[in-house]
Amino acid sequence: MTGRALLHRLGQMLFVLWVVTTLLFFLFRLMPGSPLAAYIDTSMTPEQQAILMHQFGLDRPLHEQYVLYLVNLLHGSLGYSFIYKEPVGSLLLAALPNTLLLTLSSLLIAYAFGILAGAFLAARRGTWIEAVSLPFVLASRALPEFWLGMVLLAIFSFAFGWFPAGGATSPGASFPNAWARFTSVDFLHHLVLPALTLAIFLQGLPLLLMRSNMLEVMQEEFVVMSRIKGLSEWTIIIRHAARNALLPVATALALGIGSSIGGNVVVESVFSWPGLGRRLVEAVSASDYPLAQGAFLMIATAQVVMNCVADLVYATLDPRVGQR
Amino acid sequence: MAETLVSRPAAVLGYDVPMLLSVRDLRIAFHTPTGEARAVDGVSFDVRQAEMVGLVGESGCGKTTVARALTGVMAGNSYILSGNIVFTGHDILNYSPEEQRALRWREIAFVPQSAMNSLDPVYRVEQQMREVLRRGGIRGRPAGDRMIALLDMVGLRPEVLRLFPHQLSGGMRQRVAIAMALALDPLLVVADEPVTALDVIVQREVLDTLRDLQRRLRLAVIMITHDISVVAYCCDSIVVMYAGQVVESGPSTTVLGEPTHPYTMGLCNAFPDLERAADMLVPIQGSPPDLHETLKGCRFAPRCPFAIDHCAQEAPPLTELASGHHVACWRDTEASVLRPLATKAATWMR
Amino acid sequence: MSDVVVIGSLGRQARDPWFMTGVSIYLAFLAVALFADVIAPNQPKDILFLADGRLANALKPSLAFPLGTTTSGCDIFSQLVHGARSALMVGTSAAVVVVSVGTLIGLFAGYFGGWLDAVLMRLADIVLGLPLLPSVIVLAAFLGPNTWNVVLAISVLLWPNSARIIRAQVMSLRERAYIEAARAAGSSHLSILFRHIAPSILPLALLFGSIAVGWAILTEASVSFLGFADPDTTTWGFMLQDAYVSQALSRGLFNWFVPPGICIVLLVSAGFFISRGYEQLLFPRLRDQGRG
Repeated sequence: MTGRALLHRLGQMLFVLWVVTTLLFFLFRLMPGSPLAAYIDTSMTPEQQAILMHQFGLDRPLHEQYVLYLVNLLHGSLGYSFIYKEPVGSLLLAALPNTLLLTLSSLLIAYAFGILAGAFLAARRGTWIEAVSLPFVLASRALPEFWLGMVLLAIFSFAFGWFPAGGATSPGASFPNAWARFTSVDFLHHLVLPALTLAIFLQGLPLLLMRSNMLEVMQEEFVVMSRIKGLSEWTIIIRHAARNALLPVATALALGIGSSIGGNVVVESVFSWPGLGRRLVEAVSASDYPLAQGAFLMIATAQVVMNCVADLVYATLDPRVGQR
Repeated sequence: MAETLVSRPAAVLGYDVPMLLSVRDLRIAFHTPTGEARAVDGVSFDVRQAEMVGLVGESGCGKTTVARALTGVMAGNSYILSGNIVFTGHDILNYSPEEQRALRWREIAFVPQSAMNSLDPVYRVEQQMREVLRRGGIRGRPAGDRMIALLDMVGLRPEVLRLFPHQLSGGMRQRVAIAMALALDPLLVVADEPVTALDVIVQREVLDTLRDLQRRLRLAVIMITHDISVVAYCCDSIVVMYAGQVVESGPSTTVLGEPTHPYTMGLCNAFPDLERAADMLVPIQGSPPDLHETLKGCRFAPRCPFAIDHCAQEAPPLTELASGHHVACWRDTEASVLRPLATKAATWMR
Repeated sequence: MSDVVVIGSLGRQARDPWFMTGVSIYLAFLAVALFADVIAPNQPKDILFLADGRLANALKPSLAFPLGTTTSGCDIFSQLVHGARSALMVGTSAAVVVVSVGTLIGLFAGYFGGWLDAVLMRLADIVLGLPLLPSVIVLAAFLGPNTWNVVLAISVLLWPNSARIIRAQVMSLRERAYIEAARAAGSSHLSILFRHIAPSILPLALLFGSIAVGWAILTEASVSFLGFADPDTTTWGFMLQDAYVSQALSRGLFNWFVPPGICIVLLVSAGFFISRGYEQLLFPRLRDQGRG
């Protein structure tokens, strides 16, 4: 993509994010109930409450608060959480890797499986295998992910005892650093069920997409031409058909990362996975709006960024688009 | 890995050149939602070594179907009913799939109609040519040299190798397609409407290139087209097809100079000559018959201004008038009388 | 895609097994929803007692309670049946709103073009950039825990998908000869829009609606599960939340939490089955929102 187009895209991105931030800000401020309801102890005197309000800048007019918020945002500060009484930024940064790892691992599994299965089903067009599998695949896209998570939990964790029931690590476990934590067997053990749940839910899209792309591409003239050239079946299917069929799937993957980060909310709740989604739900339930705002903003940013990346990916993979 | 299955016959110079390809009584049908259609119904013709044959006819006459049958890759819903395709002495219709695949591109190559869609859009020209050369066991440096030589043959610079298909102009793409067809030094090149998608000036250039290469490399070429002026410009002999059958065939000078079948006469009127301005364009009225039905009598009779009762009763067989000149018409002996009538527009008005 | 082709193919679809299966499932659930009061032996929220006065809690399936009871003593089967009613109500109303709004916007943006189109599509871009579930949660929390608020929130977020597709279709129809003729004959824009163009895109809108019902049900279920829905209504999502919170998982009360999920899957799949032939059309490759 040319530098100019890239800049334009970035500008679009920032515009969307700004609109979202503004909407969020006013949405939370306009919610019924005192903003400090979660924070304030009923035992506090009105003077103490007033001091707190002042500390949080809540006694200033709304537009001033807005400007202040934006300024802080540009400096990288997302405010303070009411519940945890810590900077929102650090709370979210602690949760971010958990969400990212969950998202990425489940997408990896889902797409690897989906691509292979999709290509396989395309090759088995019109057979009974296709007739039997397709309804299941379609049904898999109709699954509520949290329900799937519940069923898997009930069977594999509670009934069989193979996997832990929630969280990212066992309580009381300690690790020297983040890397050690994420590569530990404990962490991975906890990751299996949530990642599997998401993967089962997500694989439908790449599978169906790959399958329909392959079916289409196999009809294309250049595939027929490869056959006339006498190329081997393997070369035709992998080097030509699959390579072309993968383009939209790669884009879907990039988009999937973006939309998954937000969509993981329910799975994180079922498995008590300490990620962004769970933080958001917590924060909204407790009216901790700095935290809620921050979490939402982070999720929305991830989605918008990944949408942009998706376009870039497509432009890179498809030489027809790249040169403009 | 080079697999040689068919040994090449030595080229023999002189008048009596060996027959490279003999198609005999080929019949091909299609499954369609409305029934079976006989797209090719008893087609026979010969192609000699180093000969350029024009296979001409309007769309739907079966010429592309014949072409695809020669390459061994046919449309999914089509199948060969009967006939022989004898190539260098062997009936390739009897070959196993592996033997057929070995033949492809090394002995029989194909130049498609629209090279835009025939090249994989995500690979550069170089990668696609290398892929083809690998089939002939040519890799690495020798492959690189050969690619440059091939491009040079078609009048393209080596820089083209780095480009993607969508970056090439129409004429360039066709030249690349020709270069790729020649990559493994085939004996026969089947070109399906190679210049139809190009504008007239570029058409002429590409045809010149093709003709030149054909002569230099002593290639046999089957040029499939609906435009008789293309055939007139560069082909040694012509095969005229109508509704799945051959109606006339023979050396170009004979068929074009003394067309004997009324359809050929009509075709000669319908297109402007590449080298001369057209006197008058006279299209043949009506349309070809529906190939789903079993047809009785001469297939061209409904549209023929010279048809007599006998034409509708019985189909005329392909008979040899003079050496190499075949016609399927009951009134072939009267051709010299009918020819001047055929050039008049009034004859064709109904 | 010509209008004649679409309408004609809908007729062909009617004989397609996928289509028929989807429609049958819908009809079955519709019947259950309509006759919920008759089919369900108890009220979903009623706390029930056994003959000997004990609380009828966490009972296994039996004749009296076909799916057993919850830990608070409610009849699961009755809850399931009434849940069908809520599901269809939420799904249908959300789908109706989403498709109506999306279609109207698509019609106007596609037909008039210019600045109206630019503004509307920019708006669509912004909404599409928002993460679905988090946005619905935030909106639902803001508007209050009420099923209709959830429907509203879902509609606000889902309209761009249909709007874009309708718009593309309208833009291609706009240039057709019969539209030109109508304009030349002096028909007003609105009349052209609603009398000539709208009928052609109706099949597309309806098909999109069948998928939107599924999305709405799934989203509502997720929102209920997270605890942001109306505690007074009985929805399948609410049942699942109840089960989760009541430790149904560790207790192995499969009869409680499996049926609602299966119902959701069936109903949502029905929508997919119906639209299968049109899936290519309705999910443009580059912008599949994927229900993440």
